Amino acid sequence: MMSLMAEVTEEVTEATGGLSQLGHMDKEVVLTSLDYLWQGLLSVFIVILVVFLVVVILNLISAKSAKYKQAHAGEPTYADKIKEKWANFTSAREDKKAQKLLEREAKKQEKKEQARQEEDKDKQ
Amino acid sequence: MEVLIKGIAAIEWYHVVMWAIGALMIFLAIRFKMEPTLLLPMGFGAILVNIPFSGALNTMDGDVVESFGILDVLKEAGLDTGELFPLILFIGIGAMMDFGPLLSNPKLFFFGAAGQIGIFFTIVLAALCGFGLNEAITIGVIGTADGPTSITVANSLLSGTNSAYLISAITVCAYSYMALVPVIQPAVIKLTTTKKERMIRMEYNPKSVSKGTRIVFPILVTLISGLIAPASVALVGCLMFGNLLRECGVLGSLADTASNVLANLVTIFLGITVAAGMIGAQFLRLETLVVLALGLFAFVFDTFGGIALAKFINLFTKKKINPMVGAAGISAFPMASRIVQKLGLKEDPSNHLLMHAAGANVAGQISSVIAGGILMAFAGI
Repeated sequence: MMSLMAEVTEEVTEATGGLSQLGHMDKEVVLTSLDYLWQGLLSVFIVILVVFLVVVILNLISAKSAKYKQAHAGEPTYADKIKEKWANFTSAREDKKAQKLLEREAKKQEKKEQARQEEDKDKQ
Repeated sequence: MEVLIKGIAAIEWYHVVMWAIGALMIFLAIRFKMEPTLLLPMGFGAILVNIPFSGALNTMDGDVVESFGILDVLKEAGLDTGELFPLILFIGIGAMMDFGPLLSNPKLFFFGAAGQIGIFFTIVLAALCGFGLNEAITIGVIGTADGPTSITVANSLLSGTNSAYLISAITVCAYSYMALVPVIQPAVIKLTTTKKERMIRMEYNPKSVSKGTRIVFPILVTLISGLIAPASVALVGCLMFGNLLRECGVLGSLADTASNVLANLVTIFLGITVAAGMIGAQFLRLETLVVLALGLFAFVFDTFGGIALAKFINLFTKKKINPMVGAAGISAFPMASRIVQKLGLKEDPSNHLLMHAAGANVAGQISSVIAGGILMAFAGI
């Protein structure tokens, strides 16, 4: 519809030179403006109707999620569950890291001990 | 000695008339506080450009620019190149707007759409007066009651044509009538509604609007209006970008800058730049007076459109709508809603209509931008 209107506008503008001749009404321009009247109003109302529907849907979704939150007030939310899982995951990783560090330290101590024992043997 | 009297000797009658118009605009801005942020710079600009051999404008030697003038440079950068100033101003306006009352009562959207009726009737009337199609569209756009939209549409349709002189007339007209909303609207409301209708009470039960809705709304409006009328993307996009800055909750300082510093800065330049087109020899013609008359018609019909829709809805519903709320569905924010509140209190001191009117008012802002984009699409831009 828009491109059709644009074509009509171009034709009418070409025909009239796009200039005003105050007091000299151009029939074609008036007829096109009448087309604009109904098509323009219709377009504005259609866009607004779509925006209205979207807002109504958004409000419904947020109202539903608010209700769900109220109904499950004591229970942990989905976000809480994910946080908990993440915390468990990270603490497990931390534990593993700590364990590895301890093992490494133990090995180092063992090596040092062995080296000392060997030194003692050599001295003897 | 000749050099000293060169300017005085070149004074024509139209220079003097334009000085008087400029002085009147400054007077109205200071004395009656009518849109002072724009009328004052425009009034001073009108005086600046109507001084013979004004250095504020480009000095031409045939088609070649001999020396650049600040107003012509600002006009080229801020208006002729992609309507930069009005669009930046829209970011600031978006950052100022609270869509909360509208989102909690989305029915008010339709009053915003009804408040655009004046635009389309004025286009027909302008065509009947003998204006060309693009001229008629830009005159009709005065009915958006929205300065930046009027400038953007007028500039994109008329810049560089023989009708470019109309851009300033349309801008002056749009801002003058916005300043005159407190005079025009009460008169129209009183003429078209009964005392009983003006006393209708409307309950205000605000539903809480979630942060998610407030954030998603500007993005979705831009997408919807952009897909239907791509020409409106710049207008709607800038307005909604400003609003997103406000609502996202993590860019407080940017939203604050956009709504205060940026908006003020652009307003200073916009006002004085628009005046660059108010050159007496081109501005003072019969067409300008006709544009002023048609602009008034557009404002009157916009107000009537909202009232008529409210009355129409009242025919079918039990919960009546105060028709004055419909009248607030124009873009002049927040004047229109304040007027409705004032008139409501005048009829019944305990009837508060402000929040309903504010919702319709911001709906008018969105609808006017969409209407501007649709008209630009019609014109093939």
